Amino acid sequence: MPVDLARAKELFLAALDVPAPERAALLERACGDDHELRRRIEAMLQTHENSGELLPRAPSAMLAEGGVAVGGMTDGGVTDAGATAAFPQQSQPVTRVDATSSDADGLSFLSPASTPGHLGRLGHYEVQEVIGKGGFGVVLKAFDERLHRVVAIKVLSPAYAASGSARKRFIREARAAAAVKNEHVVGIHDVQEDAQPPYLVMECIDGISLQDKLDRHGPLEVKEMLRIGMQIAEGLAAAHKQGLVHRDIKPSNILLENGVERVKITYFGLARAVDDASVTQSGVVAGTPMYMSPEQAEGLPVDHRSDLFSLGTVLYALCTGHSPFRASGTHAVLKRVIDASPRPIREVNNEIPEWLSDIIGQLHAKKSEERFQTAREVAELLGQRLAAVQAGREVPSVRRGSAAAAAERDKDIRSGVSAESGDPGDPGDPRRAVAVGQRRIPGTALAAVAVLILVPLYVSFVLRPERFSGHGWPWLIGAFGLAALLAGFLLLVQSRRRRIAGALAGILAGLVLSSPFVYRSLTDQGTLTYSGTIDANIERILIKRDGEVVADLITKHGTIQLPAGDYEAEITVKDGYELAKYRVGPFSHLANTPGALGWQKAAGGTFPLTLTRDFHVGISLELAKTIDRSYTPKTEPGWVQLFNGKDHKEWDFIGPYWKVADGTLRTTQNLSVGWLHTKRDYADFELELEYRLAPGAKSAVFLRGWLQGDIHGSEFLAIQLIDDWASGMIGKLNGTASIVDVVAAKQRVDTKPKSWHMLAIKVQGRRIQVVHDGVRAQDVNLDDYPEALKRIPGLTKKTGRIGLQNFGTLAEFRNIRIKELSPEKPAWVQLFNGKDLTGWTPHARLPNNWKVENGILVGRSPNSYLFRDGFGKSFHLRAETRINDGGYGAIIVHTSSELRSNNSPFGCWASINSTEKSGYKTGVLSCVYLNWPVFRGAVEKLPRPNEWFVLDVLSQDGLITVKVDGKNTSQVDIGGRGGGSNHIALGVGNQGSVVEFKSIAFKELPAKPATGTSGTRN
Amino acid sequence: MPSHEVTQLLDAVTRGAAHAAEQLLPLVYEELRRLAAGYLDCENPGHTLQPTALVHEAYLRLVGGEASAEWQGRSHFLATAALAMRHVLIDNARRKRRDKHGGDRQRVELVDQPDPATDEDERLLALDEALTRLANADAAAAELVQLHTFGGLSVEEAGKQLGLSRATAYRQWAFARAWLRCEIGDPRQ
Repeated sequence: MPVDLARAKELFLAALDVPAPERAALLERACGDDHELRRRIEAMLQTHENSGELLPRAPSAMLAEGGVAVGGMTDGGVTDAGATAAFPQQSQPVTRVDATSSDADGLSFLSPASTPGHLGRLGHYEVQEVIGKGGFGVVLKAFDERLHRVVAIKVLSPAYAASGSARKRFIREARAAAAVKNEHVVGIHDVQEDAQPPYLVMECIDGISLQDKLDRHGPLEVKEMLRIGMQIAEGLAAAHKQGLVHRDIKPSNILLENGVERVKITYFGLARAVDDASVTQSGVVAGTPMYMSPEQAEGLPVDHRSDLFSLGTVLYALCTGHSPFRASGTHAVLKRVIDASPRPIREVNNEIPEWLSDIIGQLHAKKSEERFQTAREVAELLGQRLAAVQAGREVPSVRRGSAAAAAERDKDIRSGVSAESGDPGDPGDPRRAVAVGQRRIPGTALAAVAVLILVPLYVSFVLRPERFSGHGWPWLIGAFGLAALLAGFLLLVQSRRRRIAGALAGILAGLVLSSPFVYRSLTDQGTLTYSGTIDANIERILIKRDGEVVADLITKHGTIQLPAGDYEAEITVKDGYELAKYRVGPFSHLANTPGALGWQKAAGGTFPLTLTRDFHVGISLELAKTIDRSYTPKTEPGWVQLFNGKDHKEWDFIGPYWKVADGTLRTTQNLSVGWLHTKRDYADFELELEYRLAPGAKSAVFLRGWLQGDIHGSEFLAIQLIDDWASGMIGKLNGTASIVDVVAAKQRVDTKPKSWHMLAIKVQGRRIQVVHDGVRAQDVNLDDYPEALKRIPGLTKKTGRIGLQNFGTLAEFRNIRIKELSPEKPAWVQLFNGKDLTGWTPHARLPNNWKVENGILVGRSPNSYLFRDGFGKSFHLRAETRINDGGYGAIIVHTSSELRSNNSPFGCWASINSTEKSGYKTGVLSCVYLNWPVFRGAVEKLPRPNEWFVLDVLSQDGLITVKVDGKNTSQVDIGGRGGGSNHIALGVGNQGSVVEFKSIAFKELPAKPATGTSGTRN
Repeated sequence: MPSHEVTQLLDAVTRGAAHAAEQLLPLVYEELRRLAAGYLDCENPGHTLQPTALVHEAYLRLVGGEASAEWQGRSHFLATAALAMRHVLIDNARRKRRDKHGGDRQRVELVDQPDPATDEDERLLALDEALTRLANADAAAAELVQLHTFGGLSVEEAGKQLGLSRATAYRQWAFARAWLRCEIGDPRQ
């Protein structure tokens, strides 16, 4: 019974009026037996304790959700640098466009969409929606049909495209950003500068901008600010390394990827190579005034340090919620940027620590030479501070000073040597500031410098090769199984301040082995394994200094004291493995930013390692399995080499895209898509090959492909191969070992660039199995994906070429071998569901006299036919049927809905007849086609009326056989006739006929019959 | 939309012409939507955008600066704006839900994480339905919620619009909030 609202209101308000302890008694009295009411009031009183609003956020803020932030989306506000105005008085906001409003305006350059509901096409991009609009043009969300990924496309508006300088700037943005490959910079995939209008294709970031975040949440927490600031600095460092200055660093140009909140810098619209003097001298002010540097505001030449000033302003805004240079009007803003000292941060937000305020202060130095000098330096400093904050340690304040002093000081902090000069003498000595700062650390007197080792994290994979049933699936030699191991060390460093006269002075770093610590597995199937302290496949981790071993982390348990300083780590791994990657950094930083951050490729088993008292140092290691290169060709019967390492005689080339070199079949990297395919068709087979991709590369193995037209993986069965680490965000449907566009790999498999991987594919009917480096990645029946079968007609092909894809990136293949399989025995498929006529169609011009009664399909006079299509040349039909006395019916094969003059279909009729009338007895086969006489089979048996019997009709490449209760009754070879007539039909005759079917089953047959006999042909 | 038309409509609403309110709603709706989208996308030096600010700006834009001093139709406009804001939000949430269940076939997943936005949308839609039900039984309470939650007025201001004393307004709000939270299964119970 629903609770009466008026009563509930009265009681609730009454309860509020009495003190809480008395409420129970009140409710007891008032509610009596109405437990429902009482429960409701109690619940309401409980929720009343929580003040607050009904909506989690201000409704206007909620509106912002759901948009997809994209590179360039928020870059309104800047007009064409070549136009007359320096920049507009009022920025021109980008208007978010409702995805549902079909905004056809201004999209006339799109060609018609190939999928309903989409906006149109641009090249091989299917445009799904408009994400943003602004003065420059539009940003579209689109699907790249070649690379199978969602992209953002920025299209220069036709009005701007006409302007040479706008066009130039647009192209410049693309080139500038494309040159920077960094995970904190929005990637540029492609630029079509000659297109009308020109457009650039970039990574589509699902997330919001930093400005959005700031608007919604106000000032950020210190930790988060450091995390974001560090990543911006890292992105800038990468750009600066390319000689590029971004020139428009501001919160709306910083995107935060959903979920991970990875920072991505976007909009390199103003970026310029530093030596590109022609534009810098134009005197045109471009950029957003509130985040400009003083030199930008003054129109002076700028270098990378200009971005650092802007970064300072961004950090200031993150601390306070707004830019420090707010003013009414552009000129007032510029003036403030040039002259005014920002209001001290701690006056605005006293939660900001002094050292952070100092860092921002140094970024905000009006003279660029007084700022930090490199973004790298800032990134490192912020990383260290982040580590310290996360470890809950107090951070020494950084005094303002000259950049050189700061750099030196910073170096000291990193190496930890500064504490040695702890003589409290010269107050101007920046190192003293550090020492003083250190003194504030609680517990410093304890003075143990510890290094914790965090051990191995996990081993993912997969050394156990799996076997396909019934076949000698090989041990996966050469498999680069992903063996990933992450090990972390914690170096806990504290300074020992007590002086020990005449003894060792200085800092000691301690190394402590600790219990295993887990953070993240790289793969979905990762099994976390600890083997005591370290992964079993690591034999030795030696820490060396100046070539001498100072610690052995495997054998040495307990505490090792090591002075802070520079060391070398030497990793020895078991045979069959190699150290693939490592990263070293503040432990908490590693632990909190899992993923690809900071990984370095290992060259040999050693790498440098700096221990410091400043933070815990962590190391992550990743092992890879080495390849057994001694591949021996299969000798088992049935296996055939498809590539001999020398020539491509088994393969046909399309285009100049492939070559044979160094024993591999490899793509030529001419940035064109083309594929290589076998000289003949293969239907069911096992295929094995080894492949190797260059970093960032992609390829695919096409199965049962065909030859016409422009070939895409989305057109037929294809197994994806891709370096998805480099590609960053790709959907699971496009990961290595996925069936392109149909099924994601069952487990994540990891393609490591520059390493050989083993791919094994088994294709049998609609069943597809894929094993990648021993990981069983696919075992699917395509019939379970009816939507995909409909969408991708190529999936239904039973045979075709095997192809390898050139995607304009380097892919190599070797040891390609194949074993053909005989098709699997197909299973019976029931064509009548026992309920209704689903799947069957009456003839459009004839009455439908078919019904389902008590689970039986019944046809009654007068003449009527039920059709069903989709039958090939070879199949077997089996019906359980009966006929009334005097009636007649038929199963007709190789027919179509085309009718003869007497309104009966052409085709091969297997008669169901209880009389000998007209000679069409049960089991007789009458084959009727245009210009082809009627043939009849021999009659051997006539079943009795109203008795169930089994009627088989087999078609094997034109040879039609009829059986009654298992006995052959007739056979006719119709040759090629009836080709194209892919229907079957059920027929009922006139004159009171009633034909019934209990079941009608179907299965496919191999193309040719094993034996052909007794065909009678008149 | 010429501002005098809006002014006339507001006058008509003030005089009690029901059809005028109907005509006014779509105008306010559009304006709010436009403003919200613009605000949230462009750089905004301020902090969080308050709905009242949005409503005031919509009013200024629709009615014009001169008229705003003599804000004759203020309360009617606020009521209309609150309803419009509710519609804007609900439409937005519905669209997102539709998109989510529709063919967003290439959703990129980096990590499996619950989508807080979805929860928020579902909650918003549930609140909308519950509020409609509440309006049938207790129109005054529902109107107060609408003005406060969607119109951005404080409880007191919203009460004033409805001619309620401060104490009554808070009691209405306390009841309506508790009732609605129970109706939508608020996790904070």
